[in-house]
Order: sequence, then C-alpha cells, then structure tokens
Amino acid sequence: MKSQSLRHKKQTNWILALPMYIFSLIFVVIPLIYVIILSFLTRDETWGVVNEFTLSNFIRIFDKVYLKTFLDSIQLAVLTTVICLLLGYPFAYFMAKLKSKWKNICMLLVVVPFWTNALIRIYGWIILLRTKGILNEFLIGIGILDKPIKILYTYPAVLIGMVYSLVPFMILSIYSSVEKMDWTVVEAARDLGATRFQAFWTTTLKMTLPGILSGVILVFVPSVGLFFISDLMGGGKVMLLGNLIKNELMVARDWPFGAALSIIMMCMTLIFIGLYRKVTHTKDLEGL
Amino acid sequence: MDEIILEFKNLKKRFGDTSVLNGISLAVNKGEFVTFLGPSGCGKTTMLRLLAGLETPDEGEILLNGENITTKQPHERNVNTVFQNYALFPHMNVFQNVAYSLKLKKVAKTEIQHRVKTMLGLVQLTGFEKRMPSELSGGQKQRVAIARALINNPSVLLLDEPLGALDLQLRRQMQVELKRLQKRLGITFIYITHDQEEALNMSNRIVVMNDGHFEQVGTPSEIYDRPKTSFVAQFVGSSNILKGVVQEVHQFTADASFDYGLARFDLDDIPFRQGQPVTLSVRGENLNFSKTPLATSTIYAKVLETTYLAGQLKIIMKLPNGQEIFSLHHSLSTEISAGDEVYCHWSSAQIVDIDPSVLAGKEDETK
Repeated sequence: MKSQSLRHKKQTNWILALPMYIFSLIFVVIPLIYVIILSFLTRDETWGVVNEFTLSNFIRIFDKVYLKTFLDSIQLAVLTTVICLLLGYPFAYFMAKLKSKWKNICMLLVVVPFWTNALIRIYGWIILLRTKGILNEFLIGIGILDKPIKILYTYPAVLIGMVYSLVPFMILSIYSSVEKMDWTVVEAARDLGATRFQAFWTTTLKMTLPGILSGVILVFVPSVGLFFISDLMGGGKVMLLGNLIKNELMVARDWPFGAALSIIMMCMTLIFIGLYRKVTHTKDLEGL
Repeated sequence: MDEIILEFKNLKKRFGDTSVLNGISLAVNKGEFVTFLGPSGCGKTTMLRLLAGLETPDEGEILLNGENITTKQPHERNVNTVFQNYALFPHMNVFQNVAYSLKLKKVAKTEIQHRVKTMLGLVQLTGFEKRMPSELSGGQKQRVAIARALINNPSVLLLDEPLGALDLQLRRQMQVELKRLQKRLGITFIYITHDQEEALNMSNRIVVMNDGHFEQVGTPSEIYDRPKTSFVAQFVGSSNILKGVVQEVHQFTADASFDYGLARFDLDDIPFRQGQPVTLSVRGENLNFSKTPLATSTIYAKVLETTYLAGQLKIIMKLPNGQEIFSLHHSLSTEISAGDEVYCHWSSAQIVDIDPSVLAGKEDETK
C-alpha cells in the first residue's frame, strides 16, 4: 500500500516537474551540447565553422599565452574570493547579531546595488578612482597626498571592482548560515572552558562552514569569468579568462576555440562544486 | 557544619525597563541538590545564566568556594551547565562532544579516552561514541549533555530545565537517574524547573521563585506542607486560599471570620490579635464538608461540579462571595452532587502571607 502511494507520488511529481525539464532542455542542455560540438569543429578561414572534427582547439589551450591567462584568472579569482571572505564574514556575522531594525537596514544596503545595472556601478567606480577623480581629490584635499596616485587601469583597480561586485554574494550566503546558528551552542562552548576565540573557532566557524563554502563558490566561479570589470577598470592590461573567451568569440571570431575555452572553464567550475559537495556532505548548495 | 560551596548575595538584573531579579541571596552547601521552582518568566533562567557567567549582574556578588567570581568569564568558572535544548555541538560526535572541555584543557589523549569512556558508562551511553547528535533521541541527547557537563568535575552543575523536552515516562526515569548520579558523584546540583513534581521528587532544598524574588526556601516537605505565601501554596500542589479577619483569639487557636462564615485555625505561635487580616491555605485533600455547620466552622458553599481525577474525586464548590474552592477525596462513593449545599471545614490549614504588622506584634512581645 505504502510503496504504491509513494510510487504514485513520484509519478505526479515527475509530471509537475515536466515544464522545468522542458525549460532546461531548451535553454541549458541544447545550447551546451551545441557548445561542446562547436569546440571540436574547425574554424573557417573568414567567418563561421566547417564541419571537420579536430582536437586542435583544446591542444591550443596549452599554449604558453593561454596558460598564463588561465593562471592569472585563477590568481585573481582566488585573491578576490579571499578578500571577499575576509570582508564578508565579519560583516555577515555582525549583521546577523544586530537588532532586527538595523539588520533590515544593513540587508538593504547589501541588496540595493543589485537594483542598479552592474555596468553603471562600475562606471561609478571609475569616477571615484580615476586620477582626477573624487578619491584622489579628497586625499589631496585633506593633505594625505601631494599629487594624485594612479589607481584606475591597474591590477588593484580590477581587484577593487571584482570584490565590490561579488562581496554581496559572500555576505548573503554567510549571513544565511550565521542567522540559523543556535547561539546556545556557542554558550555551551564558553561554559565548557573555551575562550571567546576558541568558542568561535570550534563552534561558530564550523557551524557556518556551509555558508562560507557556498559564498566561496558564488564568488570564485563568476570571478573567473567576469570580463567587463577588467575591460573597464584594468584598461585592457589585465587579461582574464572571461576576456579571452569574449575576444575569441566577438573579436577574433574563432568560435570553436572560444567554445573550447568555455568548456574548460566550466569543467573547472564543476570540479569546485564537486569539491564543495564532498567537503560539506550536502547535495544542495545553500543559498543557491 | 555544612560547607558552603556557592553563595550569592543581593543579585539584581534588569533588561531594559524590566527588572528580572530584584536582589536575591542564597547560600548553597556542598553536595546539595537545590531546585529553583517557578513559573516561566520568574527570573530563574536569568539567575542560572548569572551563575554560569553568561550574563553579568547589575548588582550583587557571586562567591564560588569563597572566591568572588561575579565578573569572571564563563570559561574561568568551575561551573558547568546542562542547557535546556541540550546545545550539543552538531558537528561533533558523542565522543567529541563529551571530550570537548578536556581537549581545551590539553589533557593527554589516553586520559581523555579513559575519562570519556567512564563518563559515557555512567550515563549509560557506552557504544554511542561515534554517533552524531542528529542520530540520537531526546533522552540520549540529554545524557550526552549531562556527560559533557560533568566530565570537567565542576564544583557546581547547573541544569536548566533539562528534562523539559522529554515525555512524561522518560522524564520520571531521568529524574531517578539524575538524583542517583548526583548522590554518587557528590556534585552540587542547581536545578531549574517549572514542574513542581520534579522539584519535590529530586531536591534537598527548593527555592520557589516568583517575579524575580524568592517566595520561600525550604525542604520539599516544608514547601509542600508549610507554604509561607499564597503563591507557594497555589504553585506547589494547588491549594484553596481563604482571606479573612481574626475575630476571637483563644489559647492555641483563633476564629477567623470570612464573608461567608466563621472558621477556627491553629495559631502556630503567631501572635494574631483581633481585627488583624489572616490568609489561610487549605489543600484540597484537607478540605471536608458536612450537611450541617460545625461548631468550629460555618463556611457555607454550594457544590458546582464533581469530576474524577486519577482515582480521586474533585469537588468544586462556590462560596457565597463567588470564589471557587475545591476538595479532593479518595472515596469515590461520596454522596454529593452538583447543586448540594454544604458546610466546609478542614483538618489542617496553613497561615500564609502573614502581614508584617502581625509579626511586629511578636517582636514587641519578646521585648
């Protein structure tokens, strides 16, 4: 009886989920298959592709220039993630401990930027950071600097832009796990002889680890591919994987190579998500 | 004679505008099982948190083994707590939970192994070392919490309604086990509950709390048989509270007049004088009735209803002034039914809420 009704339930669930499967098929699976096929085809001399199987697109990735782009991208992504974590954790931690009125204000401050176009916000940063921008004028005005320093169109500028764009994801996913914390567990640790720091290290940090890890993924994965920030704030000097893919597809019009790069990037992402699942023993990504 | 292990004096605590503790003081002896009994919101949990160091008092001091620990951090006090919702570390298994405080103290690994094993044996959880808290039942979690708190050999163990979440049968079983454990280890237990049965069953001493102050401190039998205030009388084993005025004082007894009749009560050496107010507390089982008034009692009541309560007959009556009183009888065959008119009397009554002016009279006498 019971198993029958269960099976029945499963069947109806499958029917209810059908629209989602159709959606995924059209917008995810088919384009993905197209990209995979594309990556094994040969580029036509001027425009488009010819149906000729080749592995050369993937072999080309091991070229020194491209490998360096990969490494640079990963380095910047790691740096961005670490800074986001260092900024985001304390922010999320104290935000979760605030009284609900202040909590809502803080939450608003984190979320409001999402309501504005990301490109426009980056232009805002350009106005702030450029040599004759607001930051330099201010620092000279209060006498910290004698002459403007060059921040815009440097590596740190790209880093600032990346951290700025991605830190809300870190804050929100850590916040969601700090919010769920049972604080009596921390009190229990204190009661059992842990100092404030020991209690934080052995309980709070461990219990918010799922939030930290999902924050890390939410920041790391897009930061490998974000191209417009390094385009706009790096002055073309910082070449990242995202820029490379964009250039191959839009400028060089080498679609098969762009597709191959995309697939490698996707594989990297999948490896990270796989690692996350293994570490946290969860099947669902928290906050995703 | 008894060695005082924990003492607190004039503890006060406010949260915003509300005063949670209005200056409470107590001395607890070594090896004692003291229960703080009171309704929720009476300040008992706040008091426990002050003792654990999770809150600091606004005023007053706490002495542990004679040392002032009022402002010490929780980890600097040799006091451990069993939390109401267990508060086990969800990411650690049973062994790691119990071993937590030993690891912080950097106790040698082999000793940790040995001590955790002994402790788990003591709370009957041998073989559960590898289980995660999420895989345990409520009773098992409670045992882990107790083991974790006891492994440090605390001077005092604080227990915050530890059995509150368990079902009645398990709660009764755990009461016996906890009491046994306490006797065996000789550790002082400060136990918090709102369950009077738990308090009466387990404690050496009960402190009845209400509205941030102590109503009465005494042994279970003192609290039950000789309540000092109407709050204690009603909270611990419900009682009928009758308010009247002293009419005539005899040698050992006095007559009190109520709106609804007269009744005689034992003076208990309290120097009542004519015209002074008196409040009597009468347990349901001590309240009897007859069809005709007695010479010592002419309290008239009308029977409202009779109900059966676990082998007892509960008779609810209404006094002429509208107050409801009740009587409990073991014989179920009492010939009484709703609508009957009866006269009440009692075999024993407690004088509660004694007016300070009455006791002032006593001091005058001794002078």
